[in-house]
Amino acid sequence: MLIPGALFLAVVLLYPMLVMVWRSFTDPGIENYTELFETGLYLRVLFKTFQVGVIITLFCLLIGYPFTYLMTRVSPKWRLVLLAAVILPFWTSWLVRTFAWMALLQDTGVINDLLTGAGIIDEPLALIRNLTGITLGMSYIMLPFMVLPLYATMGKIDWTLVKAARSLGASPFRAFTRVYLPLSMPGVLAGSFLVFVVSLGFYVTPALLGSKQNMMVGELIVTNFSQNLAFGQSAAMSVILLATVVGLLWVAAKTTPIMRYLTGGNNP
Amino acid sequence: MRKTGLSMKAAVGFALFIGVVALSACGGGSGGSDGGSVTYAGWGGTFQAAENKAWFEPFQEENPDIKVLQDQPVDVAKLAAMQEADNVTWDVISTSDAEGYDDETTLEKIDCDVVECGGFVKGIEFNGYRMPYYSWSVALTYNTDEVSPEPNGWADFFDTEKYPGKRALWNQATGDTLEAALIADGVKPEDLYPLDVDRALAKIDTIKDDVIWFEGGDECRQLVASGEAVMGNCWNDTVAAGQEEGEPIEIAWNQCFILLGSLGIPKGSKNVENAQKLIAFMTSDENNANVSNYATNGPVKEAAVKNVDPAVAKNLPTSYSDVCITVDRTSLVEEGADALKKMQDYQTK
Repeated sequence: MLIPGALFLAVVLLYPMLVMVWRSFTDPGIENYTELFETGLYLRVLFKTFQVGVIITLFCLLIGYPFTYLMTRVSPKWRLVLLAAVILPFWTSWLVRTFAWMALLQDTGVINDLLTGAGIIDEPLALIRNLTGITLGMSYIMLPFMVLPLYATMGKIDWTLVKAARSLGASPFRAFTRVYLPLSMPGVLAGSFLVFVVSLGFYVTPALLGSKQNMMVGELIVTNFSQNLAFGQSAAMSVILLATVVGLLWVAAKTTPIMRYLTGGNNP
Repeated sequence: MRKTGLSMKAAVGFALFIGVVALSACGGGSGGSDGGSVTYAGWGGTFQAAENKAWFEPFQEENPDIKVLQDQPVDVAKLAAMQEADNVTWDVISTSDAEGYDDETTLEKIDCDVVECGGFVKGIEFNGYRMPYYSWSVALTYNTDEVSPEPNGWADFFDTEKYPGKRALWNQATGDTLEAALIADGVKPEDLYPLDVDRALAKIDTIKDDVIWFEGGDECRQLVASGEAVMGNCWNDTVAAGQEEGEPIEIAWNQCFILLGSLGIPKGSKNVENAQKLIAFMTSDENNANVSNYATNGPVKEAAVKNVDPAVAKNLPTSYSDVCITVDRTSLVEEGADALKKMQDYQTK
C-alpha cells in the first residue's frame, strides 16, 4: 500500500517541488534571491504575512477553545448543533463567504447601515480594508481547522481528573490550568499549526477584505508569476516561504511534542 | 526494522517514479490536431459567450470542415509553460494591452495575405503580431446620486475636496491607473510614455485614505453603484450592464482610456493556417462589429463602425475617440514589470 502512495507523492509533489527549487537558482540565476533581499518589498510582505498568520491563529484559538469546551460539555443533541455550526459553512465556497463578509462590513454594508440608521454612530466604522476585515473573514474560514483538532483532543479528556483535582482542594482556575489545559495542549498545538500554515497561503480573502498594506506573499508570488512571467524569481519567493515554514516547524518540533500530535501519536 | 522497510519501498517507488517521468516525456506532444481544427482560448464568461455568437458560430457555418474548439481562460503564464513544454494546445489567443510578454518570441507573425491588416480606427496601431479585434475602455465612472456636477476628467477624479468620497482604483499598474494619475497631475496624453511611475504614485498618495483598490470590472461597478465609492476607473462594459439594471452609475467620457483586445497565434501552434483564417474572419470589415450585438465592446475597423447599433454605440469608447486616449501598448510591455513592482512597493509601505 505504501508504494502507490509514495509514487503518487513523488510525481505530484516531490518532482514539481524539485523543479521549483532548481529553477529558483538557475532561471536566470542566483540573482533571483539577491534581488529579493536587496529590495525591501518581498521581505516586508513576507513579514506581514507571518504577522497575519499569527493574528489569525490567536483569534481562532480565542474563539475556538471556549467553543470546543462548550461542545464537550453539552448534551449530544446540542453537540451536533454546535458541530454543524462549524462544519456547515465548509460546504459553501470560501469566495462566496468572503463576498458575504464584504456585504456585511463595507461602509455602506449591513452593519454600518444598521448602526447609522439607529443613530448610534454618525460616520461608518472602518470594518473593511484593514486588519479588522482580514481577521474576521479569515478567522471565520479557518475556524474549523482549529475546532476539529481541539475537539479530537478535548472530547477525550477524562472529566473525572478535573473532578479529582477539585475534590483535592484545587480552585476551579487551578484545576483548569494544571489539569485540563495541559491535557488539551495536543489539540491546541495541532490546531494552531494547521491554522497558521494554511493562513500563510491566503491571498484573495485578504485582498478583498484587507488593504493593499496587508498584502500577503501569495499575491506577490501570483502577480510576479502570471503578470511579470518571472518564473525563476517567483520560484525563489516560494522557496523562501517554504524554507521559512519548514524552519518554523523544525523549531516547533524541537521545542514541543507537536510532531507526535500531528502524526497521531498517543496523548501524553 | 521499520526504517529499513520504508527505505526499501522508497527506493522501489523512486525507481518507478523515474520510469514514469521518462515515459511521460516520450509520450508527450500528441496534441489533438488532425489538420482540421482551430482552438481559441479567450477570457471566458459572458464575453466569450458573446464572441461565440458573434464570430465562432458564423465561422463554423461558413467553414464546416474546420472544427472550432474553445478553451478558457487564456493565461499568458500558462501559454509560456505550454511553450516551454513544447506542447501548445491553443491556436488563437485573446490578449490584453497590458500583458507584458515579448511578441516576437511568443507569437507567429500575422499573415497579411490572409488577414486584412489595415483600415483601423484612428489611433489604433498594428505591430505585425497582435491583431487588434475589439476595443473597450477604462473610464471615469461616477455615482449619479452622490456626485454632481458631472466630473470632467482625471483631475476631478483626484480632487477629493471638490468631490468628497472614496475612489475605486484598478489594481493594475499599467494600461490605465498610473496613466490616469499622470493626466490628473497635468501630463499631456502625448507625453505619457515612458511612464513617470514615481510621479504617478505621488499623485495617488494625495488621496491615499480614499482609495479602494479593486481587481476586476464587476467589483468597480458594485463599489460605485452602491456608493461605497463615489467614483472609479471602471470598465465600460460592466458600467453598461449596471445601467441596464437601473443602477445610478454613469461614465464621464472625457479622457477615457481606449484599450484593445488583440488576437495572436502562439508559436508552437499546430494549426497556424486555420488560425490565420479565423483571425481574418473576426477582423474583417464585414464581421468585426458583430461583437457589438452581444457585448458592450466596439470594433477596431473603421469600415465596421457604421455596423454598430446606435443604442450600443453610445456606450462604446469609439464614439468618443476625439476626447479619449489610446494607451501605448509597446511601452506598456517594456515598462510593465518595473511599474508593477514599484506600485506594489508603494502599496505595502
